[in-house]
Amino acid sequence: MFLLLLQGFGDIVLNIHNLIFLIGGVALGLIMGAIPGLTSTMAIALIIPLTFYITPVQSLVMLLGAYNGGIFGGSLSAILLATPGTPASAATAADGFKLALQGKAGKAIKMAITSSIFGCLFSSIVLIIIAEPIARYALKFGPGEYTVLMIFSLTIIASAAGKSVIKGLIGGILGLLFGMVGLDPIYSVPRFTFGIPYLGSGLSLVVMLIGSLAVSEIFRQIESVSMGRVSAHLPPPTCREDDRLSFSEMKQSFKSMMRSALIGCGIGSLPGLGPTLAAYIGYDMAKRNSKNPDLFGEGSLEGIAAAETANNAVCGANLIPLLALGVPGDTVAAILIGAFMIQGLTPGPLIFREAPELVYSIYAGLILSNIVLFIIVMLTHKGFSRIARLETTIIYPVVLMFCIVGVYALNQSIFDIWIMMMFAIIGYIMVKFDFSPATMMIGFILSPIFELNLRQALLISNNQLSIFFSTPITWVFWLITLYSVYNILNRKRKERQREKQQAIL
Amino acid sequence: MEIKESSVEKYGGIVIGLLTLLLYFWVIPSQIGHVKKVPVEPQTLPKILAIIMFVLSIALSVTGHLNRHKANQKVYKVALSEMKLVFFSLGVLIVYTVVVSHIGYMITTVASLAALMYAFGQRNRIKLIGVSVLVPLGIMIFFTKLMQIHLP
Repeated sequence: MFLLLLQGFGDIVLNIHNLIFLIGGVALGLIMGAIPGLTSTMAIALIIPLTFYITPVQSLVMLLGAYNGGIFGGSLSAILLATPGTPASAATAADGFKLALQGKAGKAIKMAITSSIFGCLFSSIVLIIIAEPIARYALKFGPGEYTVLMIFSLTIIASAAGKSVIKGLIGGILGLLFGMVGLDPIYSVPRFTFGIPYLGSGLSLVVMLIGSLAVSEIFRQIESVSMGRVSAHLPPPTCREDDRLSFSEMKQSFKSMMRSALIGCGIGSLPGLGPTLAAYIGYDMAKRNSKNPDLFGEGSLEGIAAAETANNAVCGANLIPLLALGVPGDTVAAILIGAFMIQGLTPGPLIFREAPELVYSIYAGLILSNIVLFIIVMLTHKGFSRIARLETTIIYPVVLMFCIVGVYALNQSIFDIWIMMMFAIIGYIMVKFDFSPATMMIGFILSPIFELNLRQALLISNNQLSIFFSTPITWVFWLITLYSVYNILNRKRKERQREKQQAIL
Repeated sequence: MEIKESSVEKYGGIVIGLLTLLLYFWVIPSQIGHVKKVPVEPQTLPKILAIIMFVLSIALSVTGHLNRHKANQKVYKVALSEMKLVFFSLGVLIVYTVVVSHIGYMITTVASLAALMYAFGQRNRIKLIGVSVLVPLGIMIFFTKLMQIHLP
């Protein structure tokens, strides 16, 4: 294991091309995460077309870099503009921006980057230790077990659904149906192709991803531009002392960071819960156990450390179910499954046998992306307030053009651009009326895996549904699925109650 | 025009339900062939999903109906004045897609980018011209020289 990991590090550090793709991914994710309105998901969607032309290692380290960079970029805009770039950095915004208003933006950013890296490295170590043993056990699973496991994965649809679970499920079913366009996986009968030969090979994940998540989001942002809602709050300039993060300040927050790292790991390894929940729980636990709870929300470094450690610990932990079982933990992980598939790989237990070098390169890439992120942020954080305030009149048209050219570059096909626009319109309508396009994407990505396992299981059992309840492990998965659904619904109920209380106040 | 959340759910549910009926009774039978004497036909799973979708659409509609008098509902604004930039952008993208293979990548992209930036409110000529020329040029160099991809 250690040798393979060392080889993984060597693959990236000693190969200048791999290193460039890693740095490029981190930088792009960081910039896009820092610009309010653009997200790490969008950064990944824009990078995926490029991955067709590069090696699997380059592709995956670039995507992981963009993911890490994007999550932290969201925290930068949360601290500098009080506008969280991602929902996961919302807990950072209150304390971070308060510190920025006190002239301590540099200190807040340094605490955020240190704790983010601590969280991600902690979860990366957990990932390296436990993913392979889980995968080894999962090799015993048959199609019956896998089908129930895929049903469990589909529970993340409910989590990504936003306020309404029904709307989320509708999006998920729509995605499952779009995933069936093309030839039937068992009998090769055309399905939903409408006589168009191009659709015989199914809809392209990347085209759909860029249309429904990136272009539709730009359309939504354009509406707010026309309504004049985009504004930037300028933090005052920082003085030299306020820019430093002292060892004692780090020490004071260390307990909270450890606690949050454990919380983030636990939440990240369970599908459907996500970094936002981890950040809030980490923040809340830190507040309850802090010597200075009154400072929370008023500019607490400990608060930033707790939230950032927890949400970034999810990044590494998310890869545990992804690599070991082929189950995505959240939307980004679901997109990563798509990226694996583009490279002809299916994440899951077999990947440890088929491509162990790649798995360890991913581990190394995850760890190195944190180091690269740290260096970039420490060198450039003063300039990020300018990036975060880049004019939307330039950013949005440029991103739109990137989307079009990126989609065209996939197959040099104009038809792909038409499909992208169709999904941009579908995504826009969904976003406009609070249906989540992310749920549609999760359904789409899981559709072929789910269908193939389901039908194989039914073929083996001669249509007997008892195959899904035939072994103790299927029962365990059913119980985990039920628990996961209960958990998600309970969280939604609590969120609704909190909103009601806030409305009354 | 303002639409209440409950109305979106109620009528949205009806629209989705009708589309699902269309899917079940027309699209699936006409678009997916039969394979006889097999345990699971290619049509089976799409039909099951259509049934689930129909049930969900009814649930959405009923939820909307039950919440129709709820206070503090979210209100969706559907106004042409707010959406004009969205329509304009979509129009530019459609024109771009139609003409790019005829007049080439560079001219189409520069013109589209400039049009979009101007429509979004950019009035600084240096930024307008600089960005709309340099960005397509950068993209072209990246794709054609580095990635070896032919652009129209």
